Amino acid sequence: MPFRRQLYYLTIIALAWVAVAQPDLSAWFPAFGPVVPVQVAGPRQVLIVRESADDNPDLGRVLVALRNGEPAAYLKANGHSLLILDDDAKGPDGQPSQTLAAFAPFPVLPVLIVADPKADKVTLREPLPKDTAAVLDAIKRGGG
Amino acid sequence: MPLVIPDAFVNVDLDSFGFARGYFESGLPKAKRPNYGDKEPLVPESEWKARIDEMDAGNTGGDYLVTRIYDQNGEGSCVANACSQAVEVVQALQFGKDAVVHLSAMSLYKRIGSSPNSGASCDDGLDEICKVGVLPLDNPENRAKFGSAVMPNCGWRESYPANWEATAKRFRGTEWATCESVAEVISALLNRHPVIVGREGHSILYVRAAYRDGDLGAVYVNSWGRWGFAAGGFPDGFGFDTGRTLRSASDFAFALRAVCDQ
Repeated sequence: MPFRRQLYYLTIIALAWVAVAQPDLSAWFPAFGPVVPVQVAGPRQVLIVRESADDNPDLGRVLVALRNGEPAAYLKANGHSLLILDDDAKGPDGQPSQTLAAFAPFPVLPVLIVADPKADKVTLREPLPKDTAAVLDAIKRGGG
Repeated sequence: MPLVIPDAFVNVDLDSFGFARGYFESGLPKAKRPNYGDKEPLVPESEWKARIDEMDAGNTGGDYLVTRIYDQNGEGSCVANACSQAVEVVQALQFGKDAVVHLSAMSLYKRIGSSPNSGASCDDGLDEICKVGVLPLDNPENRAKFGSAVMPNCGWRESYPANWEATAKRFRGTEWATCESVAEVISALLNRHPVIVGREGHSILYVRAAYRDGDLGAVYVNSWGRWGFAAGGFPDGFGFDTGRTLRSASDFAFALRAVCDQ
């Protein structure tokens, strides 16, 4: 078998192995390691979705704290908007909220979503942290 | 700012103040409505004290969602004022205190009262804020946003602007529950859900559970303008019901959990 054909088959076999086994090749090829998205900091649309029938004192404390004092001042100073909505929130027409529809579904509640409205993309989506400082940290990780 | 509850505004003798009130029980059979404890578990009584202490320490009571003190100005519209205040408090949580659209209690009272001082029932008020909604208050900010679809807070003889329903439905309650016990009212307040109550001929909005001299009661935001003690960052506007009054008010009250997304 000619060498070029052998090389061709070996390449096919190697690519198939990589596709199926998905080995971690970052040690051999650092340039092909996991891609870390670069967040461009800027104003963010922050959305907290929860089922208000499941509200509890811990969640209530965090939500009120986000609307007052330093947390509210931080959000305002950085141009972030924060919406806190029910997972089945309705619009004025009685239909499901369009804001929610843009970010659905919500398999885990309560959830924190941070979006970059300029880039029209979600930069962070994770279960809502249990204290106010952790919520602000998460917003910062989302570029806020 | 620590909550200080002066004696003068505890279980107030409403008659002695001479302000208008306007709450009455509808007298109709109480329609079956969802109860606060039907879906969400109530906060165990053993946790109340610690939860209230935590709320006091962090200034995270529902009074910190109040953005305005209403003034019913001598009319019997307390129920409409309490209901409209509840919508504003939930707006503050959902959209932020800067984004609250102040509302016209008169735009609600004209549908649930029959004269300037007839008064109204809380269940009628709740039904109307959830089915039809409330119009924005007539002020420069709201005029800029909503044009002529606004009304003042007082003035029984004010008429509705044209096509007012289309604007009012943007300010509707969407999730609520009936409270029929102290445990349900306290759980709602600890969860930061405002509670509309009527007692002794007057309707007010409970916004925070609190202890005073070891007695569990509720802080309410009143609709008598410059009256009461400081709370929620306001210099006045708040009163306190002790356990005795809280118990009498808790047999048929309404917790508002959500308003519609504007």
